[in-house]
Amino acid sequence: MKIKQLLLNPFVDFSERVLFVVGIIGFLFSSYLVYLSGEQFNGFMHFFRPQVPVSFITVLKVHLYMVLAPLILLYAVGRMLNHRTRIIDVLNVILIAPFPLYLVLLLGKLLNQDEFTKQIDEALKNGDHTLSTIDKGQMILFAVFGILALFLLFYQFYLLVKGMNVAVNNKKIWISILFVALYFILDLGIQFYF
Amino acid sequence: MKKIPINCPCCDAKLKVSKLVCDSCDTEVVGKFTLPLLMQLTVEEQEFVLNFLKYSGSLKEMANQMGKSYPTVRNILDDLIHKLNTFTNEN
Repeated sequence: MKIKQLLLNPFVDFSERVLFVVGIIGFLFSSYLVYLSGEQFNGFMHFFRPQVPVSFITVLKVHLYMVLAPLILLYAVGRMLNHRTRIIDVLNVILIAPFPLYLVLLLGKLLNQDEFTKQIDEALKNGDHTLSTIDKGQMILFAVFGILALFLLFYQFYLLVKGMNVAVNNKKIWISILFVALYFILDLGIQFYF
Repeated sequence: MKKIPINCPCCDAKLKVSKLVCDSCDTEVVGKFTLPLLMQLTVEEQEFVLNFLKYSGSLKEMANQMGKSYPTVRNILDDLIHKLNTFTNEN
């Protein structure tokens, strides 16, 4: 029962303290994972490989911006919709919602996604447009991974909507769509600065 | 204990009390009496109001007791206030 609730809407049952601690752990863990893979945050949902390796502090700093930017925007919107909206509830949503994305990141690293992408790149450069030189088993594995990643990306938005609905006591579908749209637009915009 | 129906099972309109009976002398009072405001709430909502009084209005304590998050309890209270305001306006 608790597991089902945890997956469907963790913001209903768990106290803000528990959500905050788990969110911070996820924040630090994902930052470290990005640092280990030699990448950097480039928006809330994607990463890039910088020319010069960056330090863990730099990764943390950029990741902090990726939390603060949606926090300010969604908190402002939340306050406009319901003056009782608390910043801690919105912060917890911002910290917890990307968890599915962190899972994608971890799975990508475990499956050595970078190596697979490199192989595809090389095969295409060598004129192998049907990718016949790539192992079929690996192709199927990454196809499954791709579908799972899409599902988890959708799940991230699901958590965002569920969390914001609890934080501002929203029951209107157009406001839920607004939350997703704002998060998405901000994500697109923030890429130009990082 | 039997649950008092609040709405009509046929048309869903609000029900009224039409008869009161004294258990000791069987006196019957017949009329049309509106249910008190709190009686018009569901059993769960009435329990919530009672808990609210029991915990001196501390939503944090209520959240702990109910095993729910603070905003969830606050949202239930906000919805209840909205519902009671609607009832008051209707009456």
